[in-house]
Parts: sequence; C-alpha cells; structure tokens
Amino acid sequence: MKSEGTPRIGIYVCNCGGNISATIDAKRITDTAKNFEYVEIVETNDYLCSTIGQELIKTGIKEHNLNRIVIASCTPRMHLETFRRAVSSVGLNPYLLEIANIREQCSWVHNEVDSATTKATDLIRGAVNRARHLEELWPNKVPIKQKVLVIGGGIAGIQAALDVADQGYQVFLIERSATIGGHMAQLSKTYPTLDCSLCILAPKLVSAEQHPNIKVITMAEPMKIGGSPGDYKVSVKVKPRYVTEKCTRCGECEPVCPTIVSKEFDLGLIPRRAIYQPFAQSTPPIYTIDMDSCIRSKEVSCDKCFQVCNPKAVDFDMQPKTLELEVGSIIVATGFEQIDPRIIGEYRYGSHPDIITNLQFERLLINGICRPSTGKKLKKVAFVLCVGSRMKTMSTGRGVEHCCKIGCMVAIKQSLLLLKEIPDVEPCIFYQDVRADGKGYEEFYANAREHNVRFVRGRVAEIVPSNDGVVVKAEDTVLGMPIEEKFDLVVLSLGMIPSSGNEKLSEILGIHLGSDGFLLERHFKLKPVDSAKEGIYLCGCALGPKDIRETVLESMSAAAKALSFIGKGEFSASPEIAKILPEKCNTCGECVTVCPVKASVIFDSEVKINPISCVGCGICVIACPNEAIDLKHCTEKQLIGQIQGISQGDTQPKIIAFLDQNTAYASADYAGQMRFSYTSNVRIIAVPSTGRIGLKHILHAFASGADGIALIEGDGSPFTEDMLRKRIRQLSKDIAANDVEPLRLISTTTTIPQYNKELELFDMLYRRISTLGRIKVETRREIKEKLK
Amino acid sequence: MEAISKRSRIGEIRLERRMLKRYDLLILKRNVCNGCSLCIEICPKNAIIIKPAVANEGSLVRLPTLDIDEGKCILCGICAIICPLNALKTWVNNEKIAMFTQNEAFPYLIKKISIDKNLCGPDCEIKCEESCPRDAIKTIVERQNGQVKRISDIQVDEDLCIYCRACEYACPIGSITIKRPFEGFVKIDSDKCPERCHVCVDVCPSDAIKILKEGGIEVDKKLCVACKSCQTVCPERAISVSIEQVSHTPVKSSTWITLLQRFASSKVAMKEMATKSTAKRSSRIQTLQPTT
Repeated sequence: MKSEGTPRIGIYVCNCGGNISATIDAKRITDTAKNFEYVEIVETNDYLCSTIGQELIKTGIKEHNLNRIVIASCTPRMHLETFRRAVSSVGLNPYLLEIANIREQCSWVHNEVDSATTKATDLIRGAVNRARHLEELWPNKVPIKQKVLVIGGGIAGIQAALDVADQGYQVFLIERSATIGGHMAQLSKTYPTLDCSLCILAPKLVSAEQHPNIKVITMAEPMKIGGSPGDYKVSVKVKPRYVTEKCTRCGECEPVCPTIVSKEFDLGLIPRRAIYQPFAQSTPPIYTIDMDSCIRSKEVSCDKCFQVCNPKAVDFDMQPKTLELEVGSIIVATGFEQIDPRIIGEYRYGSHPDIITNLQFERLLINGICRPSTGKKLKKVAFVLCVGSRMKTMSTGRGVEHCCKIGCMVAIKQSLLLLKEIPDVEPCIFYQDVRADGKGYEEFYANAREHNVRFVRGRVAEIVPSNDGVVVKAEDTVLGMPIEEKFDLVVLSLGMIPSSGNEKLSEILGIHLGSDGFLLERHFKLKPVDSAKEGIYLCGCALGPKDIRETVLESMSAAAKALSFIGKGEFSASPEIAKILPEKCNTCGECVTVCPVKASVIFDSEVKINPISCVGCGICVIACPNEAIDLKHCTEKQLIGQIQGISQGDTQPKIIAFLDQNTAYASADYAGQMRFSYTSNVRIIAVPSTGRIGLKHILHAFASGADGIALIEGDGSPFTEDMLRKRIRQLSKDIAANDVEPLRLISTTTTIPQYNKELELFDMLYRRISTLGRIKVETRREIKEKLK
Repeated sequence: MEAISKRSRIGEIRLERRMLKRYDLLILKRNVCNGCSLCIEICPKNAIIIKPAVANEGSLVRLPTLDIDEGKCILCGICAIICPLNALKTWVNNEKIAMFTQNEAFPYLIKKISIDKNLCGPDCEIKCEESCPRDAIKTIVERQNGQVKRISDIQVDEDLCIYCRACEYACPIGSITIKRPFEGFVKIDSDKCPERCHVCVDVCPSDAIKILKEGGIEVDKKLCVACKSCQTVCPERAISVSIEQVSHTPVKSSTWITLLQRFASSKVAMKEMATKSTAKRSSRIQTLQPTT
C-alpha cells in the first residue's frame, strides 16, 4: 500500500495568476516548506488547475515517487475533485491528497504580504502534518435497487410515479386512504383556466392503475424504514378493506347496507353506507367497508352486503398485511390538511349549517349549489380569507403563521363559479391581501372585480348566526368603517397544515421538519426537492403550501432526481465514515444513542456502524468514553497533526477556527469571494462537523500555540445548535480546570450567506484575547505534559 | 358539520348529524329514562355508558344516568327501538324512524294497546285511567250526580304507555287489548335480597313489585313488562330477569339474531335462528322445483 512506509510528500503552490501571488510570497514558502519533514519537493505554478499544472503534479508523482500530495491553492470546494482525478490517473489513491486554502481564506482576505505569507506557511505546515497520516480509502459501492417507493397518492405522488414508471423502473405507490387522488379529486374546477379538476385527474388515476410498472397499494402506510441509500428496506402495513379484487363495482351492496354515515370525501355533506367507495372514479376500483361504522363486531353480525355480492368479493375475515419492500429511492408526497376551523371560536364554525369551509364549498358546487340550511337559492355569499392563516402564533396561540397561498385564488374562483351558476348572486370576499402571483392569476382577479365580485379589505372579527342568515362583522379598512352584514352563506378559507402523520414519517425516514411542521428541503433555493438523506426526495404540499401547478412541477423534479439517483446503478458512499476499534470497544452503546442518523447499532453483542448510512459527522468519536471510534479521513492523528502544524509558528496571538466543512467553511469562502478582510491571526481548519472536536483537540491547540478557539457549525447540521451549546458549556468548564480562561472559547451557528456573523465572531475573539493576552508559557507546558 | 355533534343538558342528550339533505337526530330524555339498561345491552357499538343508581338505606335515591359516546355512536337507532319507556327516540329528516330498520335489517317491536270505545259504558267507573301507573290514559266523561254517565273519549298517550296491562286487568268490561313486546319472568334470590330494601320496588315502571307483609318482595307477573330495571338497580344482584318472548315485525336479519342474544334468553335466539334457517331452506327448495 502506497500509504505505508515513509511518507514522500510533494508540495505544489499555485500562484493563481496573481490572485495568490499578489499577496503571498511563493518563494518564501518554498524556502521554508522544503525543510518540513518528509517533504521531497516543493514546486510553484501559475495555474495548477490547468492541464499544464496538473501535468506538473502527475510528473512529480512519477519522477519523485511521491506518495502524498499537498496543494496550496484556492478552496478545495473549487477543485478537490479535479486534483483527485489527476492523482488517481497516475495510480495514487485520491484520498492521499490534501489541499491548503490560501486564496479564499488567505490571499483574498488579508492585505499585508508578510503576515499573509506567514499564515500560508502555517496552513501548509498543518496540511503537511495531516498528509503524513493520510490513508488510502475507497468508496463503498452499493448496487442501487432499481425500484422507487412513492409515499402519498395525491397528484404529487401520482405524477412522480408516472414519470419514474415511464422511464422503465418499478414504482410502488402507497396511499393511506382507500383511493388515490388526494384533495385534487375533491375540487370542482381549477384556477385560472376553470378546468374540471376530476376530469384532468381521472386519466392520471387510470394511467397509474394500469401502468405495468406501477403497483398502487391503498390502505397502506410505512411503519419502519431501514437500510441505506440505494437499498432502503420499507415495512408497509396494509389495512384490510374487507372487499377483494373480485369486486366489479356493480354497486349492489350499497343500497342494502343498513348503516348510513357521512362521507369524508364530501366533508360531511353527503351520506354514504358502511360499504362504499369515496367517489365514482376511485382507484383501485374496489369497494371498501368502514369497519368503524359497520355494525359488525365479534358479537354482532350483519351480512346484507355479503348476501347480494355476486362475485363474492366481500371478505369479512380479511386481515391486515405487512409488505416488505426493497427500493433504491423514496419520494415523499404526503400532501396537506386544513386546520380545524373550530380553533377560531369567534367564527362559530359548527354552530350553523350555513357556515362552511372552502373545501366543503367545492363539494357543494359539485353536489348542487344551494343554501345548506334551506336548500334554496343563494343570494349573498361571504368568503372569509385567512382563517387561521397568517396568525402570529406567539401572541394568539392559535392558527399558523404562514400564508396558505391558495386561499385568495380559490375564493375568487369560487365567486366566479357562483356567478356562472347564479347570475344574480352577490359574492363578497373579505381579504387582507389578494395574492395572485401566477401566470394569468392577476387577470383572473381583475376579471372578478369587473364581474360584481365585491372585495372588502379587513380581517373578519366575528361571525354570528342569526335567525334568517349569518352576520359577518368586519372592518372595511379602505373606507375606514365597521361593517355588519347578513349573508346566506359564509365560506371560510382555512389555513394549510401538513398531513397528520408527518412527524411520525419524518422520524421513520430520518428527515427533518421545518419549524412550521412541513418537511424541510436540503436547500430552499438550490436543492428544493432533496431531503437531508441521499436518495429520499420530497415534493408537493408536504413541503409547504402551493397550488396544483407548483405541486406538479415539484413532483416532476423529484421524479427526475430519483431517476438520476437510481440510474447511476451504483451508489458510491463516501469512505469518510466512523470506524470502531474493536479492541477498545466495551459495547456501552453511547455511540448508538448519539448518532443522528441511527447508523450505529448493537448487533450480536457487537457495535456495528452501517458504512452507507454513516454521514461521517464525528459526534460518536467524542461521545465514546473509551476512544474506541475513529473517523476515516479525519482521524485523531490527522486532526491533531494539523492542529499542531497550524498552531506552531511565531505569529501571536493565534486563533484556530474549526468550521464545519459544508456550511461554515463555505461561508468563509464566500467572505473571501467578496474580499472582506479580517485579521490574519485566524487560521481555519475544516472538520466534518464541530461535533468532531472535543477537549483533547482544544488542549492540543492551546499547547501548540493557539490563544483562542472558535467553533462554527452550519444550521441544519446533524450536530444541532443545542448540542453545540451543551458541548461548549462542558468545554468551558474543562479548559477552566486547565487554567485557561473560558472566554478564549467561542461558538455560533451560521448559514452560508451569513459570513458577516463569522467575521464579527473572529473580530470579537481577537479583541478578547488581545485583552486577555497570550496564554502563559507554563500553562502551555503543563497542558503539553498532561497530553502526553 | 362532519361528525356527530352532541349537546348534553340536565334534561336530555341530543346527538345530531346534519348533512345537506339528511338530518339524523337522537334524543335521550333523562327524566323519562329509568336506567333499565336494555339499550346498553343491545347497542352494537357499545356507545352507551351508565352511571349506576344511588341507593340509601333501602330507598332509591337517584336513578341510574346514561351518557352516549358520540365518537362510537352510528345513530343506528336500535336503542330507540328497544327502549321500553320511549326515553330514546330517533328521527331521520324529522320522521320518527330508526335508521337500521331499512332493508329489513332490523325489526320494529310489536306493541299495541287498543280500546274498543263501543264496549265502554257507564259501569266501568273509568278504572283504566285510575289504574295506569304512567298516567297514559286520559278520559273525557259526562257525569251526573257524581256518577259517570257517558264516556265521550278515551285517549292513550302511546309515548307514555309501557303495555303493563294494568288497565286491561282493571277494566271490568274487557274493552282493552294489549300486545306486549316482551314477555319474561323475574327470579328473586331471597338469600341475597336484603331486608327492608325496596330499591327495585321504587324503580319498577309498572309498579309490579310488592313488598310482602312477612318481609321480602314479590313480582306480580301479570304486570311485569320484563324491562330489567329491577335487575339493573338491585344493589345485591339478587334479581335476574329473563326475556322469553319477543314480538317483532318479520325480518331477515342476522344482526337481529345476534343482538337478540344480548338481551333475551338464549332459547328465544335459538328459536328465531331455527325459524330463519327453515325459511331459508324452504325458499331454496322452492327454487329447485321443476317448471312444468
């Protein structure tokens, strides 16, 4: 193995066409670095990333038999892959390469040549120390199962399933209710084109049902998900519907069933029997028996439906089933629900049949528009927007903060549809802001204003049923006066919340929820359908309120990502993962408890880490009381070597900043791109997450010459803000016990655009340690002794 | 608007479910209900809950109180059919019917009282009105010198009538005929029956239980309507009631047979099952007959 034996390190310093060489004296670096231990050669080049530059490196490896490469250049986030490919092409393992960032985090942010060059030298020394201990690593390749699971059978799930299946891959489409179709099947017409909703949905229902690559499984919910990206093992529980596939949908069973309850699909407006189908085009085309309403039980029998069923499809003894599915990728499309209007007590929903929700109004349009209490023609209809939406939950404790996004357009649509049916009806929309931001939406809204739809700007204060109507009390903020008017019908536009079961699903899948309860995407702008986990994609209203068009866009996008993932055929899991040292492990299980992705398990009285699930955050390394875990490509030897290398050198005072490699490091690069300067006393070390840093590393830093330490973690990292805070509290106590002032340790979380936060933190720490002064030599010596 | 909404007051419980074109309503009048618990025995969803009676020193201080779980109730109306005191009633679209009786899924009980007014005469002294324990009979009479000369009208409030036959026995002429829904017998375990306790006497809706001079109690079988109120309130569980006969409209219903077992004796259920299977067999034989 090339990594064994004496390290033979080659250092390549890039001038970057002046970007680096303008501020950093390459000659000084070369002169100093060639004396570092194990360094065979130090070379400079104007553009290392160019073909010529890469050739230089390749030639150097061959001619000088180099087995480690250190490149001092721009940020690894630019060209790590380029240089890794270059060294692999001449037979050197790509993980034997280390990059020192002397551009974004050095030449671009410091102005003085002398101090910048000293810092660059220190960074290179750190890189060389680390390179000495680098090991050959190979990615773990797993074959990706060529099947996709779609959770949720609304328009989002159906569209995603169709897109994946059309490419030739097998799809399981699971839906927890008795039919696919979701809320779109409940709508009358869609805005702004006024297409009949079910008419455009039904062909997709049929396609999904009949597609040779799609298996539609209704009454199904995922219970447990194990495995790893590319090889997910899902346990699905299928509830019995008590009617088998022999059902011909003849409908003879319905009229003989003696039990009548209200239909959930029609939101309580229409009756159904205990044996029923949600709507005429339900898919799969099989009836279902709702055993909660059905009078049957262990002691009570009734077999009217069974008696009349000719194909003998009724099966009262049907049992729940569990299916074990193995898929390569998962798409989550679980959709939305509406808030319970009863939480806005002053609107008195439920006290009068003429106060209904906007979804109930859709069903009213379908089933025959009339005044619910009398069945007569409607004259005046009020639409109340923002019911339970845009409420500051902190102050009122009810409703949700976010906008439902569709309420305005739905109310306008419903008003126009009303006018079509009843030309002399008087619709009145009570709004706060009219949101009509899509293509053709503003025109739709203008159309409504021209067509006798009245708009009153003001949040409705109270809705009071009276003897011959419902009174709506609001303030007309445009006219500046209160309004109290009686209406035949009041339609409430309800806030949108994620489907129930979202929390449980996020736990099962290991993905995150936002503070609003909706699923959290990896990056709001650039990775809008990725979840925190590889191979799991999110789409539709499960992510947040949106209308049908946006839902379809997202679901197509999620399907494309899933296809791209499984199309690779093989999943290369990063080898930068945690590894147990069995001789030190006593199976205490601490690592199992702290692992944020549940990659560590105890199996057969041994601790095993799933190499595919492990995300290499390093939290377990610090949690282990016996130091029995190490992190590949950020091993203790590598990390401590780098800390020591950077902390040596004459500059005082010195700040070592540990930045998580995904977010905080990227943020520092961003500061460099913007050419914001900060003190060159700051030296940055990238770590998988700051959870990797424990007391030992901090003490090494202080012992080797550091005077201040910063830990900066990205938002949304598995090492959460709470965990970071807890860690800092403990570390502060521990360094105080070592005679070091706790003020020398500072931390924060950040996001990529918030580079100002980092720079201010550096500034604050620099001022602190300037006041505190350097750490005393004796203190450093004592710590060094302790670390031996 | 979706699920069943419940309004519970001292006097009554209302369960209603309002749909666009259908309105289901159930009312339990607490001041009529005496806690006999037949509804609890028969409810297929076990949706009715009872709070037991309170007795003090042998007297019934408070009747048992009922409550209905609106999450379990499906408004089938079977409880209203069985209620011997008409305390439970159900309506569908303002028509007093029970949902489950459609499609012959459940029978109505046959209970009838008929008074042949032509037979009534001045000699009867309107004993029927006097004897009724529920004040269900109201007569309009013409008197002369304090005597009844002519009976203009006799009205029976069938809401209050429990078919105890007290009026039938009291009428000297025999112009009243009553058909009871239930016939049964009451067994008292005299060992368990405590002295000076008369809770069952207090609760019996037809005043059929008498305290004997020598101690103990006796049930007048002539008046007993087999409602099981006494069995429910007895603090020592000394009474057991068995319903031996149930009169009902004809049905083809396995639901009826299975629910019958819950409140009537097994003999009744067996007899009905036998009738049902004979009927089934004979109907099948009929279809096999060759056509000429």
